[in-house]
Amino acid sequence: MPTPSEFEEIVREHQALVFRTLARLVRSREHIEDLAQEVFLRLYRGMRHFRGEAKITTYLYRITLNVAQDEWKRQRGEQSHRSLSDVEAGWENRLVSREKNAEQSLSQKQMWAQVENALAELSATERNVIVLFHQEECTYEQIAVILNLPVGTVRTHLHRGRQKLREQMRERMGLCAKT
Amino acid sequence: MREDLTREDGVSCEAVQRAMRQQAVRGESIPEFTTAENEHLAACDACTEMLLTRMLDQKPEIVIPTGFAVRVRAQLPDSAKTVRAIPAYGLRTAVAVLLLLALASSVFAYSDPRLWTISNRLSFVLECIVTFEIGGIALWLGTRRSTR
Repeated sequence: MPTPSEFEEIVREHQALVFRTLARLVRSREHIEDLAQEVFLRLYRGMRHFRGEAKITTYLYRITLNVAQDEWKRQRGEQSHRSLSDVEAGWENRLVSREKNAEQSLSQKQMWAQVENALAELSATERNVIVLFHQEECTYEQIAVILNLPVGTVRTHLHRGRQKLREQMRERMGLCAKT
Repeated sequence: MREDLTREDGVSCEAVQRAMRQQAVRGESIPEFTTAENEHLAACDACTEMLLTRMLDQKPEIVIPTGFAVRVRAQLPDSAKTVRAIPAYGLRTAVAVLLLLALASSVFAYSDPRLWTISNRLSFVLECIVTFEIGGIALWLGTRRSTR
């Protein structure tokens, strides 16, 4: 069991990972700090039973996904599906528009909103696999350990998730092209 | 499929993908497309795949609040306060009952020598075993600490 100062060091070392993963998995950034705190408090409580067989990052990812999943369910109950024109929502807020004109920025925001909405329509496991694989650069084997799934199932979820995203993006691209 | 697409919309996969690579080199977070390129993307698997991969590979830009780790540390439960010993009177009562039971067994066993038969001796031994077992449980529970 780490001392509070040792645990503070663990938090500093892994906070970016937790914030980044939460930022992708929850649609609203309002409560991200609270959620990140919840992740680390759960980690601290769990460290009593942590024997070091697994990497701390694996354990942390698992907790983060669980917290994100809980938040996802809570948000889903609160809000309905956002429209593509809602440029204030979700990921697009996190983009920094450097040296871009207003028209281009709007288009980029819409593009992010498309991906965000498409991700929202995936199952929780597909979404988790995609975020861990692409954003966190985890291997199939690491994802399998984090999600407690066979490697083959991870591959299947990734393939299906990407296929659904591609179809939705193509559909929306087609709509953009027509307008 | 690519050749047909090139003929129909006048945009080739190579041109779209080159544009995406160039935009990535310039550090642009999301590629910008013309209407013709959007039409091409809507019909082309390979280009949509590349665009999707590029978008998903990007890490969101996050700002970690200042002093976050310190705030988390401040919320940690105090481990010294969470360890709580079972009150000592529980252990004392258990030991007292144990001694009383052992004493009562001995008194009944030796109260009348005529009753000191083989079957009664066996009962006495069994009583002693039970007494020691209860004593063991009492000691185990009495010395155990719990966390709340």
